[in-house]
Amino acid sequence: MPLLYAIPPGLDALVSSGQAQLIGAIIKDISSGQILGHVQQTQGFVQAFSQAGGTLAQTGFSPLGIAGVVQNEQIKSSLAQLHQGVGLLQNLQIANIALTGIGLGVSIAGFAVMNMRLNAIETNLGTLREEVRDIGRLIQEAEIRRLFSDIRATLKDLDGVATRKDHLAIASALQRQLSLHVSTISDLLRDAMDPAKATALPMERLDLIWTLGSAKWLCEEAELRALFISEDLDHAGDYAAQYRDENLRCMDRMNPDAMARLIAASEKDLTTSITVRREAAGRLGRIADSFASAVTSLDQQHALSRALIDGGVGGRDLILAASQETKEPFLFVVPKQ
Amino acid sequence: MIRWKQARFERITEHVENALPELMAEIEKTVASISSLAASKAQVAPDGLWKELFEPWAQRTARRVEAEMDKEIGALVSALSEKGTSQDALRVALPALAGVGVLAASLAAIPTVVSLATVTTTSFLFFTTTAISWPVIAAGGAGIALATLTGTRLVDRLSDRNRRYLAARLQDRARIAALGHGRASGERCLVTDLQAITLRSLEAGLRAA
Repeated sequence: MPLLYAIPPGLDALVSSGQAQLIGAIIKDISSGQILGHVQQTQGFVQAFSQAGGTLAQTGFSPLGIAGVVQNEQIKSSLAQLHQGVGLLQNLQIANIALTGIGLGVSIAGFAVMNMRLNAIETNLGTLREEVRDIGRLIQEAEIRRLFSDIRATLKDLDGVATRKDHLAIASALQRQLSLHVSTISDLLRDAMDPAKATALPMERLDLIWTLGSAKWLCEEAELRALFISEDLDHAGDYAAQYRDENLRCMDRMNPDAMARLIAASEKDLTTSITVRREAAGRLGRIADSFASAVTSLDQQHALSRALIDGGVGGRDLILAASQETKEPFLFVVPKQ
Repeated sequence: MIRWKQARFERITEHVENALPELMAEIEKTVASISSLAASKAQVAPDGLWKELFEPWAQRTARRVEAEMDKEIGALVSALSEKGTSQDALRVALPALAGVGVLAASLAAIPTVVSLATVTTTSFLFFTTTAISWPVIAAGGAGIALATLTGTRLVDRLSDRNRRYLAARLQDRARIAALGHGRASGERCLVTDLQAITLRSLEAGLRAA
């Protein structure tokens, strides 16, 4: 099974005519639901994304309240210059990618980009912890520092591991470390999302959820990359499915409406409380959309691992090909029929 | 399905929020128009007045929510039926319908499979008039009955204050009963009951599809 750098003409025609649809990064036949192809980001995409999006895209992280609409257009315009099919770009959920940093296919972002995202997340967590007592109680400063230091070291080691001779053993060890980080952050996120018996919550609680969610998604994508590099495609598929289901559960458990009403409850004036609730609901909608993006992305990686196994293509080969491609933003994996 | 549910939940809250100023105004108008003695009695035993004010408003609001949600559920169910995925959707919806999470208390109060129309005027109204604790009685508010035997000016002053306290208490209670403000997220209010009813109604629609 070859890795293609342009949508095969037949597939392109199906997408243009509306017979096939891009769902996340999977191209599906509308009538049969069959997967026709997978979109995988390349180095070209990562570069265009960073150049077009400024700080937000480079960090892949934005505190809630900063809209990514203008940036979305900038990124689309920049990617269009790479001569990729315009029809495909119209369908990609780039706004969510810009806000969450969640990529298309297996992440190939280098340490510099991932570290920027991590720094932005850590800084925001520190600020929230200092400013809001409620959040300070949830997360201890030493705990954040130790956790992010460990994650940074793991990401540094992950960078370039695909080109090492001993990549199998190293990637496998890094995957286990990242799995622990995912678990730790998931616990913190669960606490942040649980209002327990609180009768009111500060608006900053939403920033905390967003921030921890961003950290979790970053570690999940790094872990899956380690699994693809270690050629453990079966486990890559299993973990992607497991994380997909966990994100779905988080999204279902969140109940944005209940949380928005808790945030509005502390306002004494009814009119102000309604305004505050609507603002909180907007932010929670963005968080829910980000969980949905994570679910879609993880579902695609689950299906991609299966396509690679069926096609006899190595996970490391996919990542090396995507990392070395700088002219085209995407490559395509067409499953063996 | 999850995002559909979340969007409908928010819409229900919006409906209640939009209708709430009408109830607040009605409370002020009614409290201003009743006799001083009736206002004093209502300070001590407010349930009767509360019921008179809240129930008709809640029924009107519920009917508006019902009309919109019925339409939304109908559209969703027919779209899913066309695709042949209504039973898949039901499987996705069932965990939320199992009565866990913040709607547990409201779901427990709603019959398992119902249409929206059969419950809006019964189950939640019972709870909203009886199960909500009153905000603390304002100091001095209940003393007016004794003061009626003293000077007229004092009575007038106390009466005005009494009405303000009474209106404020009723309005505080309206926010608690309607939006759940001041309560933990697992506790019932009109919004959560209407959300639970919508879920039950969706369940009924999907099962029938």
